[in-house]
Amino acid sequence: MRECRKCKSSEYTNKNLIMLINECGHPLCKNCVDNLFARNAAPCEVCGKMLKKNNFWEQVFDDPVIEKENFIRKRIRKIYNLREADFPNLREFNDYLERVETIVMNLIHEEDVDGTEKEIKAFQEAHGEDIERNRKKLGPDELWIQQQIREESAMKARLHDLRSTDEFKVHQDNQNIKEAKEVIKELRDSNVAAGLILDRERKRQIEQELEEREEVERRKKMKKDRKRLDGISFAAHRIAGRAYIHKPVLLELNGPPMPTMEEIESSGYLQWVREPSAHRRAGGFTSAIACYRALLEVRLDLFAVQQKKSIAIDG
Amino acid sequence: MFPTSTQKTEWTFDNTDALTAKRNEASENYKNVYREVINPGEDERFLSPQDESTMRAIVQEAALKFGDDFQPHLFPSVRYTAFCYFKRFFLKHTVMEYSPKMVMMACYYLATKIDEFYVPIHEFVANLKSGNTETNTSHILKLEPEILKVMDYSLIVYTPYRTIEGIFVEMKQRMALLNFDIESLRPTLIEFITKSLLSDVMLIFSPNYIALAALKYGLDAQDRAVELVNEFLRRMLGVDESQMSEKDNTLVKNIDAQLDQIIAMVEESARPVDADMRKSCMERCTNVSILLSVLEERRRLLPSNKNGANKFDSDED
Repeated sequence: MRECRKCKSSEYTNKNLIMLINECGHPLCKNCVDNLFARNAAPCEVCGKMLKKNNFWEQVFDDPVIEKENFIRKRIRKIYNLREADFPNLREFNDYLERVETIVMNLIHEEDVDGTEKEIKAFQEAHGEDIERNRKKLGPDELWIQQQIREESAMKARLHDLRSTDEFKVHQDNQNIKEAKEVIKELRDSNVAAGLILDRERKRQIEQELEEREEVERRKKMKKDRKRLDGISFAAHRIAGRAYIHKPVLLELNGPPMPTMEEIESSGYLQWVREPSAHRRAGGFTSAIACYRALLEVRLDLFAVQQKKSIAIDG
Repeated sequence: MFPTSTQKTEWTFDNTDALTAKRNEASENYKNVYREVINPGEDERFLSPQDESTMRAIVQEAALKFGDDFQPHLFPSVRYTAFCYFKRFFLKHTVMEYSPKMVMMACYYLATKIDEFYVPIHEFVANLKSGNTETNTSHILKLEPEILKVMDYSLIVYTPYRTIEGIFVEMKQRMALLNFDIESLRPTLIEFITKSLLSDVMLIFSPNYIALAALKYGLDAQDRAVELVNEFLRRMLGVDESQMSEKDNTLVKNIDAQLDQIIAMVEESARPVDADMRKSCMERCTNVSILLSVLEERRRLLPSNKNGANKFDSDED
């Protein structure tokens, strides 16, 4: 659970708790940030680094280290934006990527921060032109992503158009024809003045339009509500299908009659069977069960095999 | 329970002829693979059904001893299960295709798992005397899924050991007036079951028949009246000898005939393979493995055959 370490308020005590985080990776709740950073800049409560109020952002990930890493990566990415084409061979490009990872890790775990910052500065000066050029144009990855997004939204729009025009048009056409017919019929049959009827119809149309607009709004809201509730279900899952009917499995003995469990226990069979140890008996394993199994295995199918084999012998 | 098991529905056959037919079919199938590359006259060098059976007998003899010496000491049912797997496997494949010795080891390994006597593979291979640890391990682990597949995953094997317990309990309960100690029969009965592993009875008869045959054999071996078996059956049926119906009478007689058949089969296969046969069989095996490597090479060179899926060759130790 998230908790502000300054004021100790948590998601439990404050339902609307918003945690903010800054580049040093120490989260604070929104109230504390407002109080502490009333003058816009103040040292971090934990590490003493000078922070600006504007630089706080909302914490999305529970682990502050990840927030910090994201921040650092965003920053480093702006400077280390060279592409594979900027290097003579793949090997050097990979070395460069490795170096970037090292720099990011150094900054996250605060190892040799000064040295790393110096390196970044040196790199920025050395490759100023390349960085500037790469910043302006999009890399192949970005282009690909953009294209995907474009295609997806285009597809969605097409589908939506298709569906709404189809359904709506048919419905609307029918409705219009029907209404027009009714009006004409009324004009022809009734004694009321034609102007009055037309006025009434117009009024009705306007009302209908308003209603329709409201309906759309309502539907939108319903959809939103449903989306929110979709993830939760407190009811037991229902699986449709035929109800299960239990049929007891019958085991055909096909051998001499078997004594029942009671007979085994009462007529002295058990004296010939070893007593199970205490912990086996605790597991529900009695000597009667063992005895029953052994006796059953003598009998099972004693007749069946004989039937089959006698045929084989005769043949 | 046995009547509903795959052991009965899939792996119990009518008679020895059915087994021979299946084995010959497997052998022919295997030879057919090399049909297009073999030179005339060379197919004489393949193992004959007789050789194959000798080969299996040699491996089974060794495996019996392997089971005795195994550390930790195995349940008898594990060995029984392993032999059952082995026999099933070589109903569908021939000893030329897979090394019977390795298959036997893999069967043992699988049986320890199925019979709840799991021995980790490194402990298991420590019991093997030949070969090195790595190759043995890899061979066994590679064969294990193949055996499962060949058996169509029919894994539960009903053994006669529990039936023997049942027979003893029943005899003590119903035949109290015997003039000897029933328990004294036990070692002989177990010995008979062990011997039966070398024969094919487990592919033809149900475990309770084998156990009854063991009883009959045990009584005979200790010079007791073998009619006790019939008496035992009658007691189980709850009828008296003097007033037996015709149906019960033929039933008991038929069962008795079956038991004799089982005993005959077991004694037939229990004879050790004599030294001459062993030697000639070994020679033919070496011969076959040379032939097979030549054939495999020729097959690989065939333009039509791109997949050199090469199962490992028969070895002959």
